[in-house]
Amino acid sequence: MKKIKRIKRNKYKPKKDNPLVKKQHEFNITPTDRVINTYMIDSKKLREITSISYECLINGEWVTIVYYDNDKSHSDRLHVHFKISYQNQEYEAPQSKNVRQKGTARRLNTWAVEDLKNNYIIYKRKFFKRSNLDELDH
Amino acid sequence: MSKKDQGIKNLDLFEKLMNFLSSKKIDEYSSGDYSFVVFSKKDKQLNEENKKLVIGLKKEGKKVIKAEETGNSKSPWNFVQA
Repeated sequence: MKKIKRIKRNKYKPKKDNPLVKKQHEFNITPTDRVINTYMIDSKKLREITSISYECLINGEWVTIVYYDNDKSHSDRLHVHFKISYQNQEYEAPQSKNVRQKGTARRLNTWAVEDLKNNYIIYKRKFFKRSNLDELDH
Repeated sequence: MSKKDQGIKNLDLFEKLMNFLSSKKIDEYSSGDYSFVVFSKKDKQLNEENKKLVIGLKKEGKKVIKAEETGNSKSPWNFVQA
C-alpha cells in the first residue's frame, strides 16, 4: 500500500486578545475647571473612550457639567451627556446631533477635546443658567 | 490673562498631551490619583498662571504632575512631580 505523504500546513494561530487596561488622567485647566479623561487601552492602541468629562468647582465640590463617551452601550458611537442642573444631578438624554460619531477612538477623543475647547465656556454658562447660579462666584 | 484664555490654552496643550499619553505605554500617573498641569514651551504668561494653579492644587493636598512641553519630537513631554 502506498503511503500518503503528509503535507505540513501552517497551523492557524488564534489572534491574541490583548487585555484592556483602564487609564484615567485628570487635567486642571484653571483653578475652577478640569477635564478628566478615562479610556480603555490595550498594549497597542486606544480602544474606547469611557468618558471625557468637563468638571467645574461649585461651592467647594467638583461637578460634572458635560461628558462624552463611546462605550458599548452606545455601539461605539460618540455621545454627549449634559447634566440637568446643580440641583438635579441627573443627565439629559444622550445627544448625538452635531457630534462626530464614527472614527477611531483616538479621532473621537480628539474631536471631544476640540469641542470642549470651542464650547466649554458656553456649556458652563448654560449650566449655571439652568441652575440659577451666578457664574461670577465660580 | 483671563481665566477663559487660560482654560482654552490649557485645553490646547491638554489635547497634545492626551494624544501622547494614550499612544505611549506610560503606566505611571495613570491611576487618576494625580492632577496634571501643563506647561508650555513658549507661553511664559500661561506658565506663570499655571504655577499658581500648581500651588493651589498642592494646598488642597493633591499629587501634582507638571507636564512640560519640551519641543523635542522624540520625547515631547517631561514629567516632574511638583
